[in-house]
Amino acid sequence: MTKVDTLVQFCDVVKRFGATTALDRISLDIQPGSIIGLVGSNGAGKSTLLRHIIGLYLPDAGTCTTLGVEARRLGPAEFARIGYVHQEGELIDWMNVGQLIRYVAAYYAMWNAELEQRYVRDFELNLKDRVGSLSPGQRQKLAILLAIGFEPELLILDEPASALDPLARRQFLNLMLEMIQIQNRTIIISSHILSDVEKIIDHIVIMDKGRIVRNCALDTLQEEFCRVTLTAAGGKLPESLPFKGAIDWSRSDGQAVLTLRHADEAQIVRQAGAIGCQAQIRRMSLDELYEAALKYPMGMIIPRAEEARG
Amino acid sequence: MNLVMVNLSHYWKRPALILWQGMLLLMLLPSIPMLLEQRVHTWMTPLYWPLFWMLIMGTMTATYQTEILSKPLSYTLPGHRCTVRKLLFGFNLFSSLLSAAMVLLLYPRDFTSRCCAAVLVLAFGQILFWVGVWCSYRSRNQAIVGFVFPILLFGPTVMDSFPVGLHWLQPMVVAVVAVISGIVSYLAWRLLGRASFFQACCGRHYLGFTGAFSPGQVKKAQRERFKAISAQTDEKLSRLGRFFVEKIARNRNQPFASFIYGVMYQTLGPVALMTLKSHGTNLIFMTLVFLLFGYYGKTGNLFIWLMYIFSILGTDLQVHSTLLLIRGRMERFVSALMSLVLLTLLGLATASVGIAGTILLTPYMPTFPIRGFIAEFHALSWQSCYLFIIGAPVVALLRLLFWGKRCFVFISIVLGAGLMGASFPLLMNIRDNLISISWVAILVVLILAWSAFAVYLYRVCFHKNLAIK
Repeated sequence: MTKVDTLVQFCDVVKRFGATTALDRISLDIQPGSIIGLVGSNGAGKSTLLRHIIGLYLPDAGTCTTLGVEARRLGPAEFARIGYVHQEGELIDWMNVGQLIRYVAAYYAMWNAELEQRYVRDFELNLKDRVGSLSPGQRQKLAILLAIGFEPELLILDEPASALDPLARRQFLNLMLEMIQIQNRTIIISSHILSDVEKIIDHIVIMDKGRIVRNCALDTLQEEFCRVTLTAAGGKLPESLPFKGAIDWSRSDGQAVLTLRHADEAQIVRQAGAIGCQAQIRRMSLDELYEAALKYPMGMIIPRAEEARG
Repeated sequence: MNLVMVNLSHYWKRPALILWQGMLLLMLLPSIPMLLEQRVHTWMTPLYWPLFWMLIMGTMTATYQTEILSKPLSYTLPGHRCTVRKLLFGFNLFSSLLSAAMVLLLYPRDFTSRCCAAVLVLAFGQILFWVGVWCSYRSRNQAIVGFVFPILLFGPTVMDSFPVGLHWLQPMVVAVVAVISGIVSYLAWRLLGRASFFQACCGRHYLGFTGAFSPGQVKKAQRERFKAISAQTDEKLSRLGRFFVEKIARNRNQPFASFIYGVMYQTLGPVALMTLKSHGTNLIFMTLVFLLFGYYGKTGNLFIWLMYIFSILGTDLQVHSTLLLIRGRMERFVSALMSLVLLTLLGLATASVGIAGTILLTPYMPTFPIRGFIAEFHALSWQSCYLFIIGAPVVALLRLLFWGKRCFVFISIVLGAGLMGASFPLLMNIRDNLISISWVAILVVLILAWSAFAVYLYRVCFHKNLAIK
């Protein structure tokens, strides 16, 4: 097994489908051991990006390298190290669950039968059930099992939890956490359910209209934005709130909620005290961060007054 | 807009339906010259097309109505059930009156015979219309019904072979048919008024003509079919699976070999899943086909290979599979190419069994006279097998070209109808020339066909996206 510093590397990748630019000069490095959340709205280019990693799509311009090999030239040696759960969930419908597992396992020298049995049990998969008759959730569980059964070094999950019920989602997240903690895998996960992704990722890539809007550690994003709830001690807030970097706010007579960017917590408390208010600062959820990051991409100057007015 | 108009609006709002409707009208065209033609030996054949049209009308009308009824929303619409009955009877009346009018105006016989023929078409057409409705209701996949229609194109030839005397075209016979038609229509009226009929349709997975154009719908329909597979059949599949899985695992270090085994498993697996009854039906069908083509002589030889060429359309070479496995683009290319070679050899092997059967049966097969000719059974031969060896890569190339396109099913049907229907007179005329084609020419075309497939496959595997956008 070759050791590489960067597992996946995109260099100015452009991909077009007719008039639509699905990927617009994407450059991205993915380091081993990182858990990357790929988020974005429908049509942002997440699935296209993931399909480039495994060479299902070929770039119109630029290069994509996976495990040190140009993605279009990936061969059995590299694919034996990559697990992929795809959005459409293509499986072989006429086989039963047991037959499909045996069929897929036959291709992998490193198939972990113990792990397989454990997940069959945990996911409550019936080996005799016909794959074509499984519910979308069961299909997705089976697809996940097939992708992790050979303990891949790089796991690519394209909307893996979209069809899972809350209980199965929790199971899936526990499985991911276990893989991260014990097995030290690299995982790229694209999902719409940001509350789930938030629990496992350490790095976030936000995409919009084929571009990467943000590519940073989750902690960095969480430090960049914060939400402040101001409560007026005297019952009424002053008309002008002197907080720099306010990108969004809502207020009533006695209370205001502000989203601040690049704000210093100590300074917020001080400024709130100066206008007779109490400030409650909290970290934003990934949902909120995503929205804020989309509105104000990296390097964008906030085009409003630096003070939040009522 | 009332419910009848809402229901009818589907017929002009959906482009695929307009296409089908256009084809339906085209089918009526051959009936006009045939009706005008004075046939001495049989009075029945000219009436074939108006009747055939009624069958198709019944199938198509019911297909769309069943498709609408299978949607729970339609089921819950108040008064919608009556709409379905009204529309089916309305279409029936319209098409049967049109057919009868055509016969009355164009059928070149005396007035009494013309009237009798018109009433006969009106009455028998009703029965056929309801047969079409029944076929449509019973079948979950209308694309299959579409494949059956081309076979019916041979109807006039068969009717010509068994002439019925003019004395059968008399009021008494027509009256009997009319009574039967009345009973069938009454039963249809009753059935279409029953709540249980609509309950059975609601929520049922139904692949209509338009659904057959959607890969997603087709996949859904396949999944429904797989649900019904029994444990006993599954055991048979498991044995086959164990064999291939073992081969794949053993050849793990030779990815090309393992993927070829994979494609073979995926091709033969669904065959193993067929029930004993389906196997029996297929065997009987194939036997009949080989026997029938035996009576066609040299042309039969050509038809057998055309049938095999057509079967390649249903084979997926796994080039675009997104089930990742350890398959790179090179492995996809080599395994797809080798798989097609193997499938062609497999086709040749199964055809050889049939051909051998016809050789063995030749001394025992009877001869019988048809319209002054003596139909004699001839053993089929391997002489034209090059057609299959050339046709297989061409069809596989077509499949690759149209991969993921919604029009693929349509093209398959048209191609099937074209091959089975249009090639018949053509092959009758050129069979001798085909058989006398020189060796070198065959070899050149064969190399060209396989090269074209290989080049395009290479292009797909190395320069194209392997998944749908």
